[in-house]
Amino acid sequence: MIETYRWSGGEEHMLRFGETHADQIIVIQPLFEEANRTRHMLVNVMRELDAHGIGSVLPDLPGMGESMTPLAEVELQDWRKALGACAERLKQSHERIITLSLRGGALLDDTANAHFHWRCAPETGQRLVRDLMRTRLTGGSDSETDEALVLAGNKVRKSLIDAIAAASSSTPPVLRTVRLETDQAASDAKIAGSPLWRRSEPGDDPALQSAIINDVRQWVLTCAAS
Amino acid sequence: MVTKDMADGVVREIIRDILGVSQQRVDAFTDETGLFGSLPELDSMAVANLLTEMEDRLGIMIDDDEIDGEMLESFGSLVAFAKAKLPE
Repeated sequence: MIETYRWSGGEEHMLRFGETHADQIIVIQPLFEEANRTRHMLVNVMRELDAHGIGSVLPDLPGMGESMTPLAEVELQDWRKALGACAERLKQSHERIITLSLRGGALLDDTANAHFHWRCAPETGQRLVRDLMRTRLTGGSDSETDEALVLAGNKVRKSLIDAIAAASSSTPPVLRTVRLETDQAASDAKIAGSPLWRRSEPGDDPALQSAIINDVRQWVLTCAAS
Repeated sequence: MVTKDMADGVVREIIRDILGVSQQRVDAFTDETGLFGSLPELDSMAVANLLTEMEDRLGIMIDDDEIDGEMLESFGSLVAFAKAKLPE
């Protein structure tokens, strides 16, 4: 079901499943193009979690998804404010809020002020920006200015990119981090699947999807028991 | 740790996972199979993702200066590039 939430800069959409369940997850998408590549899978995950008694919301960040806010005007602080406002709204009706973040979404999961955090393949801001800049190397664009860059066809503020490059994810007390089996970085567990966020065309990966669902369900049970 | 003799197999897996090329097609790749300019799935955006995934899975660093048409010309040239950065 599509609802809206308000933040200081306007109103954004959020997709919602299972609002009557006790446990509520805020899904924080990867940033930029990676969000488009993983959205379909994340929605499938949300639907499946609902079937297992876990509710979730997927907020559109300002400038992304169906947002009416132009991406060219967005600063990192806007994403933080929007997620904070979305979380506040959930807290009015639910006690146990959990964040589920993928990739660059982990840079923002502290803003939700949630009790429990689950991250898949979190990435530092510096490495994300390196990825983004590399797409310009082979793509190229001549419509850039002193204040704006064009990344994968979208104009974004340089100040947003600088802020992302300087960002690192927080270390909340109750956190579980999972990574793909092919990823060498440290994690609490390795899961099956391929890096859907780097796939050229938006697609599915049933192995990754079910691995995420199983791990999140287990994590929610652990959180509920703590 | 990934060694030189594993490069061919790992690069094939990366092409399958990142470009969405089927296992059957990727199994049939030879050193001469054309990549950039020949493989429609490999556009400029995909190049960035492919190289970054190679860094992650092979545990190597690729400098932006090293990225050129020659390295991406064929499957064989990409594997040779990876091998040069891997231990025995």
